[in-house]
Amino acid sequence: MRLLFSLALRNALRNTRRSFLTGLTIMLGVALLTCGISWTRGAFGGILEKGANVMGPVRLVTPEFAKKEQMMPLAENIVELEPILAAARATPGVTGAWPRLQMAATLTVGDDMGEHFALVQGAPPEWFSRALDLEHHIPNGRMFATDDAAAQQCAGGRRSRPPIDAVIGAMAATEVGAKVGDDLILGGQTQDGSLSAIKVKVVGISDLGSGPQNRFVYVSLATLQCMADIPTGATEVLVYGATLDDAIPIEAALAANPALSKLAVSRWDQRPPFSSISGIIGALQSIAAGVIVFITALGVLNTMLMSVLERTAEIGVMRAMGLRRGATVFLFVIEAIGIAAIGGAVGAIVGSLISYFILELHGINLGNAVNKLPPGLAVDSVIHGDWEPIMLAQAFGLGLVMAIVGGALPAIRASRIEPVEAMRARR
Amino acid sequence: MTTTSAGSEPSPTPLCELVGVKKNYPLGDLIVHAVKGVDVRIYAGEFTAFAGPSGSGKSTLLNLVGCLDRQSEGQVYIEGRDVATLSDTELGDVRARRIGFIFQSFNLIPVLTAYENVELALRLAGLVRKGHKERVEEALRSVGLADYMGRRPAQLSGGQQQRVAIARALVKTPALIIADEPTANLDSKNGAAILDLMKSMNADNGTTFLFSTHDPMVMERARRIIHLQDGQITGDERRDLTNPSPSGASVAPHGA
Repeated sequence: MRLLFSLALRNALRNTRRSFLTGLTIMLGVALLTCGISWTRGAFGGILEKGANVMGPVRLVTPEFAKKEQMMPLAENIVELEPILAAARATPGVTGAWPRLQMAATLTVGDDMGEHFALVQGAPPEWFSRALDLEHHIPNGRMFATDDAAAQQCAGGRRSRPPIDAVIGAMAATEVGAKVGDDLILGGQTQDGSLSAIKVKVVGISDLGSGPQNRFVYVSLATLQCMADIPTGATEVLVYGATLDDAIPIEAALAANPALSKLAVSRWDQRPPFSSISGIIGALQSIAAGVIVFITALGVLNTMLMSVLERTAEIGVMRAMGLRRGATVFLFVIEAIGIAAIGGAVGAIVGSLISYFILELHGINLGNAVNKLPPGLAVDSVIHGDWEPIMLAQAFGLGLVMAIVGGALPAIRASRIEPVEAMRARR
Repeated sequence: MTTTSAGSEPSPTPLCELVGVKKNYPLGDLIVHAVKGVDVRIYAGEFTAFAGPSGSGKSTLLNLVGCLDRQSEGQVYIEGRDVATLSDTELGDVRARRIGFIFQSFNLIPVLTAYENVELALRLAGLVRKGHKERVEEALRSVGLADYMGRRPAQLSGGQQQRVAIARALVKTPALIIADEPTANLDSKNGAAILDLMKSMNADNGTTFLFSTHDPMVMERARRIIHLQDGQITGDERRDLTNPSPSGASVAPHGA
């Protein structure tokens, strides 16, 4: 066995140029895989975490709202919020629970009745802080303060005073031409379908680094309650734990709570678009990895087939001397692994260096490409990689997989060489 | 009629026996009859050559005797065992332990040293036991390569490479050594030296050699020459090499 092992490794160095090129192919494949996995992990990990925060790790809605969610049915709201919020906040592991209202609205600045639409989110300022860290992403202006103004307007019917604060996303502001201090008229509907409008004052323009999130208008919950004519309710209650992983036990606890039995409880990954996106991401990563492994394995296959053809007589001699078929397979697979081990190790190191120093620390700026994503996907323009030391070992292991996949067929072919080939080989 | 003369007297049981052996190869739509019914016996201690022109069937016969190939018809016996009854694994064991091979192109493993090439034969035969190192060294010493054990084939001359091949065949002390045109790739001086080496091993140790050749140097040294033409034996000549006169040879038209 020792001599066969040594023979296999020496064979790997027999044609150094060919082995070098094969090792280089494996190196590039492994490096590409490392960078690709690191970057997609970073990209999709960021999307998922941000998206889950925005959508609420666990959400309580009425069953009717859940059925017609895409139509944003304001009429299907939770009328009495306080007992629901109290029950949610008392659940073990819950660090916060907040109501939210969301609706589509037209935006008008001054007399310009343009056809600008935006999603308007209404929630307590604490939710904006927890989910979006909004107060730290307003480079121009400030965060809105309290619900008082809107509450007064609705209660007193004084729709022009005092002014209601709103923060508008940078892209929406550009599209509608809004500046800090401008009056902005939001046109929408009440829960019974009547037209409704409310005038707000732009107190800040936010930049959340994400195309979709920069198209939103952010107001207090009372503002949207007033506009939608839902005095005390909201369509959603969003529940948070310390980490995203806490969503699973929290969801289970909420679902088992009799006080919440009339509501539909769901986790972030059970709702669209994440219910399908996780599977798609996994499949895409697998397909990409499979393609790279396949192409690299083809390189190994080519090299090893050439080796088998060149060494037909030699293999015939060894077969004549008693080399078993299994040992012949071993000989060639070990040779392929020998080449892959070097290429894979270098590829894993190079890929990791690129992943860490370029992708993770600096990221790749996708610019406006992210703006076309659906609103639920909160994606930063600059996507950072997510590299971990374990990926070194994983990448090296993939290099070996490439070698085994690429080396198997030639090895089997070699094992089928009959001993009589030794006699046929004449120079 | 067959006359046995020089060297040791053949033992009554043949080392190898071919009975009515035919070998056919498909070649496109045609069937090539490479061997057309051969009966021959090879005895232990013989120094025998299959001689004939290209295409006469001598390499095919060597393949059959060496258990490298299976006959289409007839029986091949090695040490009394009908090879047709042996599985591929058993055939492999016979090749590995009982038969040594020497090839025209030497066919040494280029990445292994002379020592390792010889050791590989022992390992593949499953004959690595205590003292195998001395056995490998002795085999190389016996072919005059004591000082070349650490060299790779590319660092050896053609004659030296063929000596390594002989040591590789000898090291497992096989019953039979099959040599396929062993001098074809050597100059006459080296060819003669290699043949003399094999001849002395035959004389000193009783090692059985079976050649295929059309090299006059081999035929000069062979004690038995089986002439082949178109896949059939046309003559079986046994010679008394101690008597160089033509009367020292006798030829049987067929069989042994």
